[in-house]
Amino acid sequence: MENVTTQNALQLEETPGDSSSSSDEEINTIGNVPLDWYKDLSHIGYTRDGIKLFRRKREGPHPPVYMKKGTYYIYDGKNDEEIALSRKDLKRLVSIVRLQNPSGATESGFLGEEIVVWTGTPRVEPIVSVNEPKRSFLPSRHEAAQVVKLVRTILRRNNLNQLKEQKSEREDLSVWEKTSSDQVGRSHHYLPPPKIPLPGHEESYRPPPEFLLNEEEKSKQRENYGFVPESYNFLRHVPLYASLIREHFERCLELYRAPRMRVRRTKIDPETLVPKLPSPDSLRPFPDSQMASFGPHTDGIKSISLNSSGQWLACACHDGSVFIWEVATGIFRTRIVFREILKNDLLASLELSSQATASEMEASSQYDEWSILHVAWSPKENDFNLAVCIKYFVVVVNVANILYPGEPQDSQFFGYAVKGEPSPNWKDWKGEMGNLGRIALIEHSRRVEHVHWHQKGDYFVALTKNAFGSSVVVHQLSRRRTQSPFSKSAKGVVTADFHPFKPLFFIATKHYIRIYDLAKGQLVNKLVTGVSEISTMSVHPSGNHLLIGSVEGQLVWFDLDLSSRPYKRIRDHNYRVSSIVFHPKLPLFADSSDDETVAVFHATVYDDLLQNPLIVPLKILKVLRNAKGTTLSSICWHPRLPWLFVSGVDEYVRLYGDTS
Amino acid sequence: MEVAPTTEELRSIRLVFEPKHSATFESLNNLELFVPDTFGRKSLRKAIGQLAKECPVDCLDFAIEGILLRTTLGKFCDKYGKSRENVLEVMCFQPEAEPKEVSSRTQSRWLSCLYCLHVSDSTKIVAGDADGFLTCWNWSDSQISTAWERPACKDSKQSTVVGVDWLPSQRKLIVCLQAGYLVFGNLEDSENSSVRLNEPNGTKKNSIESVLFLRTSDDTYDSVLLGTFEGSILKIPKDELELYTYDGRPKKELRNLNTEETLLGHSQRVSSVISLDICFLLSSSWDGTLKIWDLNKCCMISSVNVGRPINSLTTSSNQDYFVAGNMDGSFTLLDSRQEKPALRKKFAHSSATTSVACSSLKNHLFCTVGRDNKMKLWDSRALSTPFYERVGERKQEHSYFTCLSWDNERDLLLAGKNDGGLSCLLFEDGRMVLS
Repeated sequence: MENVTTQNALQLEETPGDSSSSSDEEINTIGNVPLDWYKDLSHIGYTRDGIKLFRRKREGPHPPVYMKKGTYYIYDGKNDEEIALSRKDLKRLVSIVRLQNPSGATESGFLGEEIVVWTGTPRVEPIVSVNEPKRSFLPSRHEAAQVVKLVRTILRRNNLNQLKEQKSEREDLSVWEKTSSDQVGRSHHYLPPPKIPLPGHEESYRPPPEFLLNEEEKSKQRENYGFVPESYNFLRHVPLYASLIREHFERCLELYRAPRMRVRRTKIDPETLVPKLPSPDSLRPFPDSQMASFGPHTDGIKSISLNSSGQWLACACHDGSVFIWEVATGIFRTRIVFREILKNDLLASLELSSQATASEMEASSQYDEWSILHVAWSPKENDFNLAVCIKYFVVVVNVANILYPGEPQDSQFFGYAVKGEPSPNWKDWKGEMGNLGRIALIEHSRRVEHVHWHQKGDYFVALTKNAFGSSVVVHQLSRRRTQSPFSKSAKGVVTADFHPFKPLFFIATKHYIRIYDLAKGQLVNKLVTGVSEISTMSVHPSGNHLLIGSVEGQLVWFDLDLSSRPYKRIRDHNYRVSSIVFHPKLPLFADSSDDETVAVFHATVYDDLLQNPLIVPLKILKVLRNAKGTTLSSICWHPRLPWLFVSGVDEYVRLYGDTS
Repeated sequence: MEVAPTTEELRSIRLVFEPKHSATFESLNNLELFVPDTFGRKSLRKAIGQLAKECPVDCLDFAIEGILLRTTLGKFCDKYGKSRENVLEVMCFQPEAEPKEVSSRTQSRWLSCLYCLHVSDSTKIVAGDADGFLTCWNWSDSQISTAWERPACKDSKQSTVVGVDWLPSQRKLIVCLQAGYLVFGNLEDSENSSVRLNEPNGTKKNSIESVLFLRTSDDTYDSVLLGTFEGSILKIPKDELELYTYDGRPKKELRNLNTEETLLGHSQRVSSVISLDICFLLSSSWDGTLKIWDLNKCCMISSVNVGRPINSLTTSSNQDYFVAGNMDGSFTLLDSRQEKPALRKKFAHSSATTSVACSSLKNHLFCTVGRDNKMKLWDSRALSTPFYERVGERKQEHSYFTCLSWDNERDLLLAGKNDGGLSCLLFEDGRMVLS
């Protein structure tokens, strides 16, 4: 083994030397073949020209290194030469043989102790006897997982930069840096201990004698686990703090009992909660200030109505008369005193036949009985029919002859040729006031609360009420007929109205609104309002929206296309909403309340079903209160202009308009 | 022409004592300053202050080449592109003298229109009211005395009198009623004949809101134009009218008068119709627009949106500006001398302005009355404050002025009230003389 290593070492030593120095001057060109092949031949190889190189004569076998004439030689078998070894070469050979550094490191300046890895001599106790385990050559599981993770991320084509960033984040965490209390609190839910009051004089180790307690006080204090001041001459005499363990225990208990979750108080900017609405100035025109007033009347005004062209204003007074004013100029045109007209003998007989009980008659005072509860113009164009609710009657008067005198009296009944027999409760009666023309009296069994006209001006619905119930009656002017669409007495009906153009009919009871199809005679929809009591109702001119007012001052908007539940609730009054009116043309509505205010709203309704109606409060108008302190106000829109008529109890009707 | 007082301190101001226009202005003695534009506002104020010391001036306003100007002198130049070399013309004028007032109250009806007519030497005031009655007063020596009172129509139709006109040559009084009647009568007796404008059994009833009697000469009508509540303007042609104006008495007692050439354009009540020329017409409406119509072509020429319902309209005698009284208590002044009409809005009354009237003699004077029972006289050159303001007598709790009329010949301003009162304001001239 030793020989092999020496030979190898020699070859290693020689080959680079030969190849570098004499590769071009190579004489023997046999290449790197075993020399045994030429052992028995007379030549040792060939020159570059193919001429045989003959072996020189040598005597016997030679050792690889031999001495001749005081010089060491080494025999080169391939070229059949004897190479003289210099002293340096010899020394190197010796060191190779001795298995030392052949370059002679000690000579070249390496001064450290040589580390002998393997001396070549077998040792009694080897350094490591166990073979290296297999897992040391394989990647570890953790590393494998990391590699798999990387491979997957690469396969997923995730950004490698992200990974780097994650790494860098992790690296940024420094352990030794000082952390502020904020960071501590965030990371560890740090709970600061409660602050302890600063110690006083009595807690000193040698307090002044006035702080010391006598025996009784001491025992009392101990019972209460309080602090007992004691005096020591030296600080080293002070014993261990007795309640240290207890306090530590309490602190730990406190930490243990502390909630694990940190509840953060959410900070909400109150302005973000307010819905973003356009400013009222961008939604002009709308009524904001008084322009004119109509009056004075003889008594408080119960109800007002404007005719279809917006020229004539009818005001129903508490004393049973109707005033008609011209809106444009403020001229008082006429006053029709229904109380006096109806107090004829003709009516006396009617009164007896009416089904009202005697007690009821007595209950209401004589004056109140003749007050007009509601007045309404026919919404048909060029139609001057005025329906007045008084007592148990609905009186329909054509006032065209008063407003436009000189016209020939039409022989027909309100412009209609009557077909068939009239219903028994229709009384046709010609008034004694010459120009009043024809009056139709319709008798009911109960007191008539209000009247709503159909858009075509032929049908109108009357709501009658007494202490026992209420009923809804539909009258037809052209045929002089009365129909009762509901066989049962509708209980608790608050108001009723027609759909603007469809054959639908709305009835509001205390809590619900029912929509009936008049053509089919069936219930179409039932709206759940969720208010304690409905006080008034108004149908949008488009017919797809409905607005109700409640007793507690709430407005509830229904989108009939959307659902039978309210779309929006608006609280703007403290008291009962007495009436709501939509503007026939402009996107406006107004509501009056018993708290002496009238609120004007903007309400744009879109044809697009996906877009919700835009409702913006615009203005609150204050209505004057009279000395009696009663508030009965009625509101009414001009059919084309943004003008609002408001009647108060002070015998004046006020006209509010836009004064921007 | 007087020589201007020279003021050494104000070198660049030239004072001119010179009447601006015709004889109507002579008495006014305008005081004019010609100031170059480079003159700063501060020094201008100083100059005016200096001027005011010399001769007491109560109200001041500036006018640049005829355009009214208030305080923003520099802004104005930028807006209208006036170069700095342009000369600003600053006018200072003396306030008008307060008018003398004579009032009378005979009946308690709602006066709706007023007309002043001159028969030979005497002057008569005819007022129409809401119940269809006519009242006549005699005006002599600044005193009013009631002459007569009678229904406008024979069969006493209760309808508002919209307009009254007088044909001097035929001595005929023509009255238009709101319910759609023209009544032809005499001044002396109550004999009259009425003509219906609405169709007898028509479903549509035209409510006449304003009327214009368009005269070519003293005795012939070119046409009568009626503004209705629905927004149309009806025209009664000449040949139809001639039947009634010439023959003295129509054949039939009640006849229908054909109306034609409805000028369509307004969507609301036509509150007043004014003639600008024989063929041009100006109308105002509740839909907030003023429209100018060509009567020959029967078409609309231009339209100005005021933005608020107009109750009443008047134009100055030289038609430099129009004044529209609005429903919200303001009035709008339109300067017609510009290419684009310049609008100036001013709130005059706390509730609706009922009527406006322009002086026929003094070009810049106009008057507004409102439902707040106030009458205000304005100078169109100085709109900051009215130079005369009067609160009407309150006979009733809720009385106010309803109609106005400014007479040409006597320079009389007549104002009617809703409680039947009549106020006459008499203007005296020649009192304003500079020392």
